[in-house]
Amino acid sequence: MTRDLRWPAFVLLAATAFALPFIGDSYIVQLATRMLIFGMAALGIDFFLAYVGQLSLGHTIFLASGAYLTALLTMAGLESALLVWPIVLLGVALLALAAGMLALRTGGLYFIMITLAFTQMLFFFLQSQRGLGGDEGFSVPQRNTLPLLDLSDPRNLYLLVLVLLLGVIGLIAWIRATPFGAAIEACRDNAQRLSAMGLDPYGYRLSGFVFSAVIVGLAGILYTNNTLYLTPALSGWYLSGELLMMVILGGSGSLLGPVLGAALFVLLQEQLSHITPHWMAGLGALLVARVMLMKDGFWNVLARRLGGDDSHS
Amino acid sequence: MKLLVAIGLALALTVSAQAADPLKLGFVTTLSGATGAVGNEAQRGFDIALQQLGGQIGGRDISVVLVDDKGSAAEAVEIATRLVERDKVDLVMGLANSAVLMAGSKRLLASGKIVVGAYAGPSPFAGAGCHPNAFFTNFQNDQWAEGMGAYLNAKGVKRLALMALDYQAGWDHLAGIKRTFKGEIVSEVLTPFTQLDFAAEFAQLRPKKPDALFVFYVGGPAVSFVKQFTQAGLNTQIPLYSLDALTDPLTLPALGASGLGIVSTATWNPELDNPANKRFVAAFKAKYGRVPASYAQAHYDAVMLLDGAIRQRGGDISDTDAFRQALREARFDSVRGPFAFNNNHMPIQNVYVQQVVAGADGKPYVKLIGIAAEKASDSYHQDCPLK
Amino acid sequence: MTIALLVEQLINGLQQGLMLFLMAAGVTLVFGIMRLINLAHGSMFMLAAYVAVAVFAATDSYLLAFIVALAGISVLAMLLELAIFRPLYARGHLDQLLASFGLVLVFNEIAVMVWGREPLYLSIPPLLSGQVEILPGVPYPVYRLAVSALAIAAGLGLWLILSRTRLGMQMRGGAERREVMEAMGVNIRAIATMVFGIGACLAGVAGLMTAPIMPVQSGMGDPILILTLVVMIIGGVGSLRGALIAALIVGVVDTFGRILLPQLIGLNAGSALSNMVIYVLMAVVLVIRPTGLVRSAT
Repeated sequence: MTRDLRWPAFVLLAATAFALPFIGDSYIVQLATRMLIFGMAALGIDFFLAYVGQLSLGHTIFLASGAYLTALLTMAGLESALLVWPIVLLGVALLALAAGMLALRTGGLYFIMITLAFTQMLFFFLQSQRGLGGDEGFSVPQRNTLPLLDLSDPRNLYLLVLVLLLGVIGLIAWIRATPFGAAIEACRDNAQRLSAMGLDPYGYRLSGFVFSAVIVGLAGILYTNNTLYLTPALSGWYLSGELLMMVILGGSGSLLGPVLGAALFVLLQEQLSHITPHWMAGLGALLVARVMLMKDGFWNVLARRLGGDDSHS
Repeated sequence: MKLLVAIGLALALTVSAQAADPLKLGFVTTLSGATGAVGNEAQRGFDIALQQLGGQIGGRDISVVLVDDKGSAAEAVEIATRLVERDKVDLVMGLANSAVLMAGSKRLLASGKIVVGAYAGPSPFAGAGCHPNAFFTNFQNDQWAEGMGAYLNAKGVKRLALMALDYQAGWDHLAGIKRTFKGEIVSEVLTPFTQLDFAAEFAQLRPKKPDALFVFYVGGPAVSFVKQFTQAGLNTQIPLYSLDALTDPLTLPALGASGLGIVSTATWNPELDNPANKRFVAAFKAKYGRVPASYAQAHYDAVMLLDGAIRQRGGDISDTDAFRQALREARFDSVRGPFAFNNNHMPIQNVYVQQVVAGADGKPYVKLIGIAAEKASDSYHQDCPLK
Repeated sequence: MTIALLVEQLINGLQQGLMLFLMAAGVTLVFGIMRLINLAHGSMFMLAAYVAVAVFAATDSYLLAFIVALAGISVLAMLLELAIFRPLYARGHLDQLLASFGLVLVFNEIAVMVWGREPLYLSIPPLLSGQVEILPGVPYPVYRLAVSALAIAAGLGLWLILSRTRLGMQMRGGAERREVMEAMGVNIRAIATMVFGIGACLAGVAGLMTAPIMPVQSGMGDPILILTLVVMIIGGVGSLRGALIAALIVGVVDTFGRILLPQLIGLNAGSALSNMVIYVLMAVVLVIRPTGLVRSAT
């Protein structure tokens, strides 16, 4: 009946996002940078949730390890992003491979809990590191450097994060269109059939796990560059829970849902805390209401209104 | 004559402009989350101070920008940016949480703001990392424990057992007591924040028969620790020494009679006999119906320090060098008694000894029993390049 | 370590395990029957303790505090089942986790609004204070022994309900062959409501027992909830027997990890590792047996 308005909506959002550093002050820019970074992490978690069909409480391992590795390399004197970031992503991928090989032996609730165990272990490990300030964390002296772009300006960092986020969104969209992506989704829907076709669902699940971990790891790299201060709270079940909240607020299984969910979550947390110290009750009630009253996240509901019948397409 | 009138007019205009333009004070504290009780108490002390000063600080009208840091270092950087760029505050105080302080102060100090940390005094800021614009009004984190070490030496304790929470503050306090205690450490145990059952640790401790046990616990774990220590009957066998936080007025009601007898060190006690303290404690009691905890006292004192320094500058803090010098001189009557800033902007002050005893009404209270260290300075100041 | 000390530590570990079992029983029963994962179980633990403190402060009666807290918490859980959880049975784990996580946040904040942020206190009944010598030279708090006895009694009560009553039979049937039970005309929904009530009552018992030895404060249910989930998973989801075995293992491993690891590998590394030890245990169990120690009927 009407035209598909999702593309225009996406273009409008992206244009607003690009215009933001030129209209907002640096507080807004920093807040927005955090939104985008958490949005990227939520997107990574949702890739695994929506397309591989497994809920992980452990992806904060990759957020924390990406962030900590970046900080440690930077403090060891490696400053160039072109050098540091690939090393960190490789490290995160190897860690994800090891964690995934163990965790994917299980499934369902057991998978949720084994990933929770991993992230709790990392939390306690980081918290015991006296050289890194224990639970109080430590300050990172400087951001990574890039040729041509001065990241010490928060506006430039924001724009870089935005471009990388759009790149990740594009990459996920592209992967889903390939036979590899189709096979990953097939293990979610019907693992037996995949096995019957001679394909190994375990291998596809593992690849999906590693890929999603690398996205979250990239978010970790950017997190360090943004805040220049790290604490062990970056790992552990609580932040995992918050990232999942972001996913379901916006809506799982769509490319924009987790990102907009993250933006909404950060904004609410920020604004509610100005109104009342009991902001957590508001956040909790919102979460219950979202699950009880809406069948899907707000972006997915909106996207359907805007024209597509199926936000998963 | 005309000239005099003009000067008079100009002066009057300056004064009125100044009066019309309130001083903007950023007050960062933890009002929600697991350590929200700390920030609530801090705010009570802050409010009492402002109330006594008639809503002004140093004779200037004041506009307070209150920010809840949620105890989250992740948000501290944004909070700092907001205070500097959006709220355009003149100076910032509070920052009781060490992690928030360390994460947020970099941005604040980089913008040239004066930062007054009203509670935590982390060691990175005390030594080589001290900063001309950063002031810490309450203590250097190790100060209470160092005082306790000296007190235990004086008490003739030879064999000491240690227990503490397994995090930065716990490590700092254990390091502090080991620095000054001269006897033997017979055992050392660290427990995580989430652990609230100490039966296993007590079973290990009992056969070691130490002369005394020194612990650092705060909040929930403090309550668990003391109650279980008494339930296990250890309170009659091993004298328990700690720091003010174990038995402060926020936890003491939850300890009931099990807290009786505990000796701790502090840099302030409600019973201290000086006019400033009497005034503060009376006002707090009148408003909240109990004695204040050290968080309230620390923030009260921090406001009073600012009041003294701003008053000294005639209400004008635009000359940062002069204002910094006024702060360094610290001309105010601290409720703690003698107070001066060291070269690293950490306090030189007495460390007091206190004990939980039953009051006339039968309710336990923390009685001042002596001085552990007089006009003590911290052990990092010699590394600070500031003069 | 002397034999006496070893025995004392074993008792400490088993006692911690019994407490965890009371918590885990409710979660695992609900999951076994309704396939629902409920994080708000930790809030029942907390609220029972708060209500007990409030009732005791008002009436000075332990018995009344005990009864009101347990009855109140059971009714609350049943109301939650009707209003919130029932529509979630058909949803995925994610929706269940997050809705119940939302409830945890709400309950924690309600506790702050009603009772404040400072920890509250419930004293030990005078009859149960003091110590007895359980072994020569090993005094042990009477209260802890009483708590263990109560936990065992509650566990036995649960076992009696499950094995000897019609309701119990239907509950077990619901867990194993839900369709058959429904075909036989058993009202599974009503049973689910009852199971929520019973589970919350057990969590309430755990909360009450804890109130005199630990601070009653907002969020006190959160760490215990995580441990509860670990126990449920190690035992095998839905299996009560598994939960009991896992709870005792976790209690003992945690206790001995805490005291032995710092002695074996040094204070810092040992303390750090002892914080992780139950998670390592869970990960190892799951790598070897991906569905927990005891396979439940489903």
